Amino acid sequence: MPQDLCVNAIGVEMRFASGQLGVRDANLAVSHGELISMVGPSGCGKSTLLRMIAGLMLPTGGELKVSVATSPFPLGEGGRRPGEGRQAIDVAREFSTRHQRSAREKTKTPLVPHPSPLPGGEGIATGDPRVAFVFQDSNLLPWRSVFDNIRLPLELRGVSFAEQQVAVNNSLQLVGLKPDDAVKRPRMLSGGMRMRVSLARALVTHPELLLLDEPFAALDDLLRQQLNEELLRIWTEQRWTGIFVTHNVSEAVFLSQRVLVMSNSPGTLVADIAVPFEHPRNVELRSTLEFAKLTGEVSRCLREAAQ
Amino acid sequence: MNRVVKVALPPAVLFVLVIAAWHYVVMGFGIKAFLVPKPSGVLQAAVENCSELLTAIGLTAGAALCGFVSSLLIGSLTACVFSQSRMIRSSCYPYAIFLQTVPIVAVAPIIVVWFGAGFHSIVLVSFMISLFPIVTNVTAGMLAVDPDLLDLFRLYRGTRWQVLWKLRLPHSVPFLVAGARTSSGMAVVGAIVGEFFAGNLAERHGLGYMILQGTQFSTAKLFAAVIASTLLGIAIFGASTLIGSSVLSRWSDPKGSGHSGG
Repeated sequence: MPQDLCVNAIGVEMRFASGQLGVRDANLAVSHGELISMVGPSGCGKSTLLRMIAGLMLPTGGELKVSVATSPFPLGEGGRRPGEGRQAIDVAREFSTRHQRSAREKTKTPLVPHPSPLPGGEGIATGDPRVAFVFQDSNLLPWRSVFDNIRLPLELRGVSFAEQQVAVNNSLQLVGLKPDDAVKRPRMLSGGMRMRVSLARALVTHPELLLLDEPFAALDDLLRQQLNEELLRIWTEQRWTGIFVTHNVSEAVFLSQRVLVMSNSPGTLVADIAVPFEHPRNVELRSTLEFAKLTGEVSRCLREAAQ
Repeated sequence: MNRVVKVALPPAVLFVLVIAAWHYVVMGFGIKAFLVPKPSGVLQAAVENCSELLTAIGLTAGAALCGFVSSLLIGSLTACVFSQSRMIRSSCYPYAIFLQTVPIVAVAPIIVVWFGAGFHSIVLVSFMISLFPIVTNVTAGMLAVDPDLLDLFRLYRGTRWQVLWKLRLPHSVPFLVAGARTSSGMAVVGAIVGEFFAGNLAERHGLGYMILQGTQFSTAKLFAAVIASTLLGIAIFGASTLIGSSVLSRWSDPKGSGHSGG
């Protein structure tokens, strides 16, 4: 695996317990610091591929390598699992799953591919310290305040409260939330605000690889464009590697350096379209002729893929 | 204020009408007092036996609360264990249902045979009858956790303990509240049934024993004890509903009231 690749998938396949093929022969190479988008018709397997990259599902075939450094947050003295997370920050970790399939995996149903919700399971990398995931639903704990929601990943990792506070405040600021929002409960927030909280929670761990699964799909168009710009601004500042799954072509083109098109059942990647626009990008870009041409081309690919 | 009147007035009027009907039916048909006492007779019996009645209410309330609180604790704990393993769940669940369907009146004498008469046996009967709704509700709540939230905990390597403590348990709180509402009423029934069999101790006794005594000596006293048990049941049910809804106001689901924008 070349040194500069963050994600490298070769012929990755996901066959559900029902025998149905969710993802077939997916080849994907994402360099460190790259922000790419995956578009495809609904149910084509793009979320499944993303979940495999996150380590939430185990591929049933092919080779999938994810290379990220370990967490910058060392565990405290009283923290659990001593030793872990204490490796040098830039030591790259690799996990590889080649044609592995645990016995438990075989009994899984397609709707809930991992009924064993708990960490562990042979060969499954259940979440690397520096991989973060933004779900389609904001996925917040309703009984926790915004602050307590954002600090959850650090809390689970045993980071001290003082460090949590600093990290949460930075994260809040980064996604454009005010300090007084921290005490609010999720139900008091609008959909867009909840998504910002969800993004802040993902960013609080300083991820090296950020996986976004249609995060803005439920928002209205104006809000979506606004959050697209904010996300791009954060990426420009931090330069993590990002994989953004969406079915909105204009969003995909605006955000990413490459747009991958996935075809329908069973899902496989059929096109890889470079987006040559310079960074930083702003909202003006959306009204240029080049932008329209490119979205047109991606849309055409998407139509072909859906057939 | 107007709303309170609207809610409270109809049942209050009905109450007065029923009491009046009761009075005139007993008077008109010349029903003997040992069959159905007049409302005034019941009130008189209650006043005459005031201290005995209050002691009885206190004892029964104490037993019911002990049974209820221990069913909350043991029930939640059992649900925690059930949530951890499908095998434990499927092997124990039939027996939990058995525990619920076997008539408590039939079990109470067995408990007295095993543990003797007294307060602890009364609490045990009350506990047994109020346990089941807690176990089923909390188990359901723990298993109904959104799979995406479980994925979130997996992603950040939450341990089994963290998933239980920080996700499943808080998520099951609304379910616990619903179960507690059912259980609280049943705990009072359990305490009174328990007193039928295990309450004949010393001079201090609860409402159940007073009801038994009333059947032999004074129907008016019996009626007073029955009404007191009903009021006690309503009070405990009301209190647990009130506490429950104040707890629930924290827990309401953000998805339900969700709206996008700004």
